[in-house]
Amino acid sequence: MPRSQPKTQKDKKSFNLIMTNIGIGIFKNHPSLAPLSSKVSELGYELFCVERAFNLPEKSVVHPELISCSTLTSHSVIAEWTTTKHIENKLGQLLKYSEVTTDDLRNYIAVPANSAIQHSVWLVVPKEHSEIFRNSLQEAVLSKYADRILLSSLENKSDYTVKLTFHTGCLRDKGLEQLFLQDYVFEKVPKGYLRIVTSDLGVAAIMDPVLTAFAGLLIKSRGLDVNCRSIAEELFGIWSMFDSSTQIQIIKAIDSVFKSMHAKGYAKRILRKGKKSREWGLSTDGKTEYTVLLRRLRSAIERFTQELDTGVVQIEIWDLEEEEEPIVP
Amino acid sequence: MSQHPVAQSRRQLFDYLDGQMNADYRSILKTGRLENETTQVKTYLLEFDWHESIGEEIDNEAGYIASALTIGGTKKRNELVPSVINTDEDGFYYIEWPRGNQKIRMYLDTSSDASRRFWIGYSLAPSMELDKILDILSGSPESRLDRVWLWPELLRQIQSWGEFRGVGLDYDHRFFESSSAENLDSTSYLKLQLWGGPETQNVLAAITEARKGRVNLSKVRMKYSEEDDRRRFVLEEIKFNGKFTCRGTSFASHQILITRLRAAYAEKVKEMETKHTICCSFNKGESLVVSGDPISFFPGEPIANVKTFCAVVFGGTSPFHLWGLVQQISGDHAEVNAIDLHTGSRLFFEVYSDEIRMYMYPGSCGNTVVRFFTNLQRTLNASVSAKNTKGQEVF
Repeated sequence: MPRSQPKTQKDKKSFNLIMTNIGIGIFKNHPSLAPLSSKVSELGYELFCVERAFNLPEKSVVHPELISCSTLTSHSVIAEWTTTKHIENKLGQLLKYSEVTTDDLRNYIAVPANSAIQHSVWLVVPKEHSEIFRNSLQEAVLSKYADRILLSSLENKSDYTVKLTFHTGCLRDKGLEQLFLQDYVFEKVPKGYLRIVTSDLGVAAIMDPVLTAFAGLLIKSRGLDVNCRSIAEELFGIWSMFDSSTQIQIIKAIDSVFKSMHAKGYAKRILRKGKKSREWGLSTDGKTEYTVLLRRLRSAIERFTQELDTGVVQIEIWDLEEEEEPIVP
Repeated sequence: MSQHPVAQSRRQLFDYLDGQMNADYRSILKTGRLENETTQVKTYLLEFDWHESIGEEIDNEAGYIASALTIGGTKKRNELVPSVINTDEDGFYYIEWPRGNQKIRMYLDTSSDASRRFWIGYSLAPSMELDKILDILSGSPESRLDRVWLWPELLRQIQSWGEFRGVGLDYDHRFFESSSAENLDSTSYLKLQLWGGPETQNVLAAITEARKGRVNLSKVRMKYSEEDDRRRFVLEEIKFNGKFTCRGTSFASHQILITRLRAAYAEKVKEMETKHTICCSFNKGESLVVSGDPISFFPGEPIANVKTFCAVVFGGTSPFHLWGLVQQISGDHAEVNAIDLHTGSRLFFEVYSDEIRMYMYPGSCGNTVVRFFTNLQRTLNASVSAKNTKGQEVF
């Protein structure tokens, strides 16, 4: 069978990854996100779940980035961040979140009953999208649910400073709303709670965590080839939380990292395809020490990263080749 | 070359070592000096990573351990192929490493720690050879053995359990210096041993004050006696890397001390893993929660060069044993996806000139944190502190 044509994809810095970590940090009271995080904590808010999809009757699947809830205020926050330009789709999703009922929260999302009396939606977008989202929200969502949706934006101020800005909307917990009406400049925001988010599986975004997990699994297996599924399980912890299509998407994304690198001559000398599809190992004569092999791998990764950064190469995401074994989730 | 009798149980070994210690001690009292260094009893507290094997049936445990302690490779000088010999006692092994024309021997107790994670090695072999073997093992990703890393405050605490008999101080800041010509003969290191009674503490206080932020406690000497009979005691020299050298009249006292220390150390390592592993898990309501928080390390003074710091720490070499992909964000900020070469577990670091934030993930080893902290104090700054996200000291 002819090989599928590679599609090219220009990766961008992962807003979703940064925002997910900031969101977790705010609701876990990380000191770099004070005073917002400490005041949110005083209101009793705790992280309830991250990146979890829920099936709700009459609303099908909802997939918020994060949910936080407080038994003190009997209120839950459904958080969503997006870089999408397809605002129509997003507005539909926000309407769905706004229409979540106490019953949905309690029975299907399983928020503790005393936190599920009321809920609000917190939307965060990149600064450059804030204007267009504000206008669209006014028309489509706020007219109906003015009391329960609040829009903020996040912008990079410097290498490790970000600014969170309020734009429009309200929350049903007025104490929390007061906190989100203010703008905050945060330094040294935490970025390590999650290293990969499913909303951004581009090669550049996942390359370093994937290759680090690969190196770690090589050590654990004492040099045996590593398959992409093991890497996915290592990176995501609870693999069973993903539906089968997401699992396949993740495995393909991980395999793309290796294929993109392996396409380079210098990487081919160190990176080797395994006997089975979506399985990778290091080229070795069997005598060379791990530390030396890992040093060579790092050099190849650094060169590849440099080429990505300078635009010398574009990342190639291959379609699943037909002759490859099917992915069994 | 001294030969061990092949003890078949820990009881036999302890009795033999007790006799050896007493003979040594009497010899010192008589002659005023130690006749033969090799007869001193050396004990090593070690950490072993079973990976997922613990709980599984291992058909041939001696063979499994031998394989986990074997280093191959092209560099002959680093090659280690031990023989691990069963004894009559389960989990108690006799191990031999051929080195040149001699054999370096050690008894290995892998079972007295209930978790089977913290091992104790006993030997009368020459320190220089055995230390080198253990350094190679703990520094190689091929081996599953690591040393324990006793940070200065813990050494102080241990010393307070007995009577003060001296300290070893050191620092070596050459790790983070550039290899330029003017640094070829750098003198930014110190090694100092102060042996003596409690009055030595005044000298220690003066040196520490004069070299604030630099001088680091790397070794303690102490006398540890049995509570009901003070004539039965052990004179211990305990190094930051878990090596104990002992003399005296009671091997039992030594066992009490090392067991007590092992419990304290294991508790700290476990605490690191339970409180600081960033872990996604389902709670009772089937929701996915993120538990655990990072640890922040604050250097006493700003890191002069973040790029050099990352190259050294994540270069895959001793003493940090971390391998990482460094993304230099700016001059004073880098992000590093890393692995611990001992366990292969993943870590993530945010490095700033005034803070290093460390994230551990499932499977991470608390010993990695302790190794990182202890060696930062020795190589970067003795004032390095570690705090949780609530601002509380971790060590």
